[in-house]
Amino acid sequence: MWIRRLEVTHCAGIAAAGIDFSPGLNVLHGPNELGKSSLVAAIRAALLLQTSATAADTLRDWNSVESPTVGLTFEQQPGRIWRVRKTFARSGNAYLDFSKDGEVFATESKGREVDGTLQTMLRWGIEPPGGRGGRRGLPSSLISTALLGEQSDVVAILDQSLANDASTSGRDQLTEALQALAEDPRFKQVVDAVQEKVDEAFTATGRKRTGRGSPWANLREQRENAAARERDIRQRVDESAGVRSHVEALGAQLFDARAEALRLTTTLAHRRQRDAAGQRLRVAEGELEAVETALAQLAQNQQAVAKARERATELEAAHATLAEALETTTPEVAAARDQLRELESGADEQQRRLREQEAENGRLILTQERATHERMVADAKGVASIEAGIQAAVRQVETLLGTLAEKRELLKQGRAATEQDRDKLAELELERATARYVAAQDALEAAKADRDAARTMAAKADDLDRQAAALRDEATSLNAPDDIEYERLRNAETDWRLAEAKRSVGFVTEVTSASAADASAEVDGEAQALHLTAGEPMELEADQELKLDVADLVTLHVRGGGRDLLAQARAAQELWQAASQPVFGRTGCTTLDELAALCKRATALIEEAAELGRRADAARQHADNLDPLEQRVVTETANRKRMRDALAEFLDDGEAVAELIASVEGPRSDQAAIADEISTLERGVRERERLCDRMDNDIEASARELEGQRRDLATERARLADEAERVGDWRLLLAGADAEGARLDQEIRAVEADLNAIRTQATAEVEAARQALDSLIKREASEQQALRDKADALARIRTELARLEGETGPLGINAEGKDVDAARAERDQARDALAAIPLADNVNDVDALAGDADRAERLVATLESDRRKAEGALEQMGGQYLDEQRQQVEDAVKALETREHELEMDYGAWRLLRDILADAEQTGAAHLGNALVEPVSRRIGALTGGRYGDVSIGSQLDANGIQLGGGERAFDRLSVGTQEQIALLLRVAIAEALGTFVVLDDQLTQSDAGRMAWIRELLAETAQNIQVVVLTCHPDDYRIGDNRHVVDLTQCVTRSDAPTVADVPDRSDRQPRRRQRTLPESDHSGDDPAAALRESLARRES
Amino acid sequence: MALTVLHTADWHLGRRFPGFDRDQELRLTRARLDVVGRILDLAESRNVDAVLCAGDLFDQPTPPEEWWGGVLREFERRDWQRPVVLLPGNHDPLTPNSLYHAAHPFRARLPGYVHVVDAKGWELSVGENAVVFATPCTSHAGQTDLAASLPQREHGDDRIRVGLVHGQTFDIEGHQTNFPIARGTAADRGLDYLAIGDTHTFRDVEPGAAAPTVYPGAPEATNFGERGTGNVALVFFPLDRRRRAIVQPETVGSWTWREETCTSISALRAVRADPDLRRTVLRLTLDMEVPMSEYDEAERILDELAGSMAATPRVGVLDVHRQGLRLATGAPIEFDTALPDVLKVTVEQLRLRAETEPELAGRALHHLYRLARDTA
Repeated sequence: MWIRRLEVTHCAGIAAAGIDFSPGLNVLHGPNELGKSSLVAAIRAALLLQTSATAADTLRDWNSVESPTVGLTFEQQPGRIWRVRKTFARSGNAYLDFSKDGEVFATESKGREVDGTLQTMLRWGIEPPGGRGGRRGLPSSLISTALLGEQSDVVAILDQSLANDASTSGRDQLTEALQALAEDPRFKQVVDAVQEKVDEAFTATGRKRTGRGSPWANLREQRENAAARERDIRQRVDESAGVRSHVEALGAQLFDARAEALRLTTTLAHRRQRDAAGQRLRVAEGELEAVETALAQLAQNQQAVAKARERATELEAAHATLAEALETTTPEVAAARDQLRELESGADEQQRRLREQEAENGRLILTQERATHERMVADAKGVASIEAGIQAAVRQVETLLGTLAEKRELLKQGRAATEQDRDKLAELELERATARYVAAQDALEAAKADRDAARTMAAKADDLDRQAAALRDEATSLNAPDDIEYERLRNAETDWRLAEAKRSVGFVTEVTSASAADASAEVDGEAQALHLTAGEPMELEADQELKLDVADLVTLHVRGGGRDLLAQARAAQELWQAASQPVFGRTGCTTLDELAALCKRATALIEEAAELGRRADAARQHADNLDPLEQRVVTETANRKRMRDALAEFLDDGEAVAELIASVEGPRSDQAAIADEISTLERGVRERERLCDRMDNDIEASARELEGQRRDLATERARLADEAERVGDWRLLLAGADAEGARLDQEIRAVEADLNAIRTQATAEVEAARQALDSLIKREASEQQALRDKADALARIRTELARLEGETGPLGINAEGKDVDAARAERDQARDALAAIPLADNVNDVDALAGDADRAERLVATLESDRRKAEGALEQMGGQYLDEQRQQVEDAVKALETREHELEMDYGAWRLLRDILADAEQTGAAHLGNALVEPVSRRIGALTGGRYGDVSIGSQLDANGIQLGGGERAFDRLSVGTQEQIALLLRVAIAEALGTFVVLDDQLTQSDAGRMAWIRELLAETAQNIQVVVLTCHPDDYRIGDNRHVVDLTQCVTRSDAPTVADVPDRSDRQPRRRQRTLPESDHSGDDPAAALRESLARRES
Repeated sequence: MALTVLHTADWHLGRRFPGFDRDQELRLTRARLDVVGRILDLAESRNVDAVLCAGDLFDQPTPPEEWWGGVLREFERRDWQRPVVLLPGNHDPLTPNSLYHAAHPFRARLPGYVHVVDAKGWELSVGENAVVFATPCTSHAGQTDLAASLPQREHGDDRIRVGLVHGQTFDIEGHQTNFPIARGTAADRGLDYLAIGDTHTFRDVEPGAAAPTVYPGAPEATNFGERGTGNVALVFFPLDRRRRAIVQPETVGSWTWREETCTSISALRAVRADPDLRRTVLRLTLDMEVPMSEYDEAERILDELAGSMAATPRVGVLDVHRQGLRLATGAPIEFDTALPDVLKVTVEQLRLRAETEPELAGRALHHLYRLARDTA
């Protein structure tokens, strides 16, 4: 995309301007205040600003009442030319025209649609009008800042990030562009292969393919068929199993029913036998019981009469004894009552009550004395407590003083350790810089060695190529036939030989001459001389041909085989000769074997040449890396220089780097270890400084606490003096308190003992008399009750005896003539007969049992019939045969499931791989910065002579800083000029990636001549690919060859006189840069700084 | 010898093997027809007096014509006088629609020397001194002892009596016995030999009995786990009937069914090295966790065993269960050092994924491993 033309009227100090651009480098120059920045603002407004936006006020020309207008023509791609026309006012208008040739335009959209279409087309990360999250003012994004950066903030791009864009379109466009730059061909090869596998099985929407070529197709059909068959068989198996179960159930039922019928029938018979035997037993038992009852009643009556007589005698004796005892007890009771009355009314009792009153009074007085003593002791203890408190406070103050001194000493140690560590850190930094320099030196040497090896391999490859070419030339010079030609010759020769062989029929000719004669013969081409003897036959044997010439007599020529065979042989021979002569002619061979040897040699030469070619390729493969290795040598050289520069910072005046390296004792090469050591040391220093600060605060707090405690101590001492004065000699009182208390307690206990003795003496005499009386009264009542009980019992036993004696006569008559043994024998016989019959359980109703037995018989018959029917049905259904069928189809389904699982897994794995590749690709692409690091860093390195390392660009193209001296440095810590140069390089890199224009408005004002020259070359090179528009007041700075398009703006711009708002830099929305790297805080969070500092020092020591 | 008989059964012609892929299934089903020719050739070479086929010759009563047509061709190409007896079994019972029915073209086109047992108590004299008694199955299942329907030897009958039925001699509690055959039937019926079919393993059911009761087994196995298959029984009856008939198994099958579980790559290599796999149905189960190099080798061996469009399979029929082949993702995977960063990220993500989905992610890692190697 490039800008073709810009037209402006009444815009920010410009009355009118019209400028044509070219696709490459455009240098627009003019003096200050001409309105160069206004032109850039106009381009920005044409592409980004709505006509009615408030931000358009900055374009207004205060010398005119007309509304600003801007016309911008740009070519998106060849044959797609757009023209934007905007008039900025409250009711402004906008048009977007399209043209294929740049001459004839047609309006594509107008009004608010223009901006929407533009943003969709540009994809700069700016939300189209009406979108959510739109910002007030001139819309901006990372791309707009890169391509149309403001003169007032040339380094704005260093503060930008795609994350701040209103729309993702800019990010998407950059992702596509940078990804295309960064895509690895091997990765693409892998992705294509994986996608091809995924496409075999899945559609674009992720569904399984269903077509004929799909791997699932056959399997699915087979599975469906198998599943259908399985369902069918399973249903039949279920039915069969149902019938089988039915047969089995019927069999079980039949077995049960037969058993039940048999049981019922047997039970019924037994029951009937038992009923008869039981009846007989009951009769015998009744008779036996009647005999036994009569005899027992008589014996029982006789025993009862004897016992009643004996009991009556005993009761009469006891009644007499009790009457005698009662006569003694009654007089004793009367005497006891008289003694008690006498004790309660005597003079001794009055005297005892007076002594009791005196003892009580003495006890009260002693109790009061004891209470007074206890109060005085409590006051004395209070004073003693105050004094103890004061002593504790004094000890605490002393402890605090000790702790404070200890902390101050600890703080001193901590500070001293920190100073030592700082010195050590400086040494380590030097060591690290040395190690880096040495490593860079080694890497450079290694790179040079690799490069030299690659150069050697390249030379070797050329040499091998030459040898291979010589061998190939030699092979060509042999003129050997190729395999096909040789095979053709061999076939022709074989055909000829076969044709000749067919003629070899073999024959014997017998020649008999009438007279002796000499003859000559040619047998199969071999000449022989013969002598024929008269009358003697001579046999001549040949395979193919015989010529016999008897001189002057006869010539005989015999040929084997027919004419056809002869013709075939000759034709074959002609063919062989026609085919072989040219080859033999050019090769000098005379036989096929010679020709074969020649072919073999030619083949060997070609194979040897191929081998040499392969070795040359292998050597060249090694040499292929020559260019990167050369580049690596350059890079490593620059790196070594950077390391040397970094090391130079440690040099003392007049000291050389070599001297410095030599001064480092035993330099270490393990940079990571040094870095770890530095990091550890830095952490320790930071932590210790923090702890020292905390310790300082802690010491101050402790001092304040000590002062407070001293004040409290003085107050307590004053209170002690007041209390001692009030209580008197409290120490003496406390010393004798226990003895006085004990004395009072002893006196109280003595008085109380006297009182108790007086009271006890009176109660004992009266109580003893009263208890003696009560005892006598109780004994008298008891004896009277016992006498009455005995009289009643005697009367009852006499009545019972009379009744028993009256019954004895009838019972004797009833028992007369009874035989108990005979009755018992009868009963035992009946019982044995019953026991011999088996017992039937729980049978109450014999008729019901008979009915049950009948029903069981009928059930057996029914079940037998049902089972026969069910067995017949089972035979028809299949039974075990179906089980086998089911097993087969289940195996099939299982196998198909396994195969389907296998396919699922295999293609699932392909799909998973595809997805993860896509994620990884997306993640890689998501870090857009990585794609720009290399080109930008390379140019920065070249610009600064290797002083700086890689630039750090984040995933959202947010530039973070740059490597310098082994560490990352924030941009704002670089010089302004360097910042401007880095910003320019980043902007150019973005424009190159997008293949679009970039406008540089007085970008490089702080660059020295050397860097300016380098940048000129860069812009010239860049302008071969993209449009670069430079606005400057120093056109001489951009004198680069003849391919630039130079525009003298004084000839194109008509300026109004007033200054414009657009030229006033607006820093309102600039974000302050915060690039200071802050060291991470230590995670030590203990509350005791002294312990933490002690621990830190101990760690340092270890 | 007075009489020599070839006893076979359980050809199960037409049995499908849908668990295998189409080509493998065809190989196995065709093998069943091939063995019929070998059985008849054996009968001819041993000059037996009769061939007794004890049921389940077809896997179903009405098989497709390609199966019974094939059997007919085998019969038609022999101009025999020796009788061949075909007994319907429970898989191919004698029903109105079965191929043994008189109206079926198979039955109608059978040569005269081939006889079908089509009635209870069927009888055929073999020579002058021997007779075969048989009863067919008329349903897929039944609880009837078909051997009990064979006639008992009558007094004065000195012929060699051979019984021919299809059924099961075992009686296991809880197992449904189909067409049960009671122990001692041969002696009870006065038989010199009871030829039975159903069980696929060669077995002399009552080795101690005077008259053998024998299952010849299936001439080609039908499933894994079947032992003693691939035989027919050659039965030699002595002239003197007081001696027991001699029964000799003769191998006619050509396929071996075998199950192997490999728990290491060396075990898998050993399987590959086995030269006798071309006529083997191999169920190969892999249960091993291996590093990527061995995982790759295992994949290559499986490819080699299974064959491809360009390479002949080393195994006749291969059934692979490879769910147990796991990639040891904890071990380092040796990708080349020049692998692009994005592919290294992919490798790491797949290894993470392998912690939860070892099989899927392991395979994906292997795919990537091969692609990376091919594109290096």
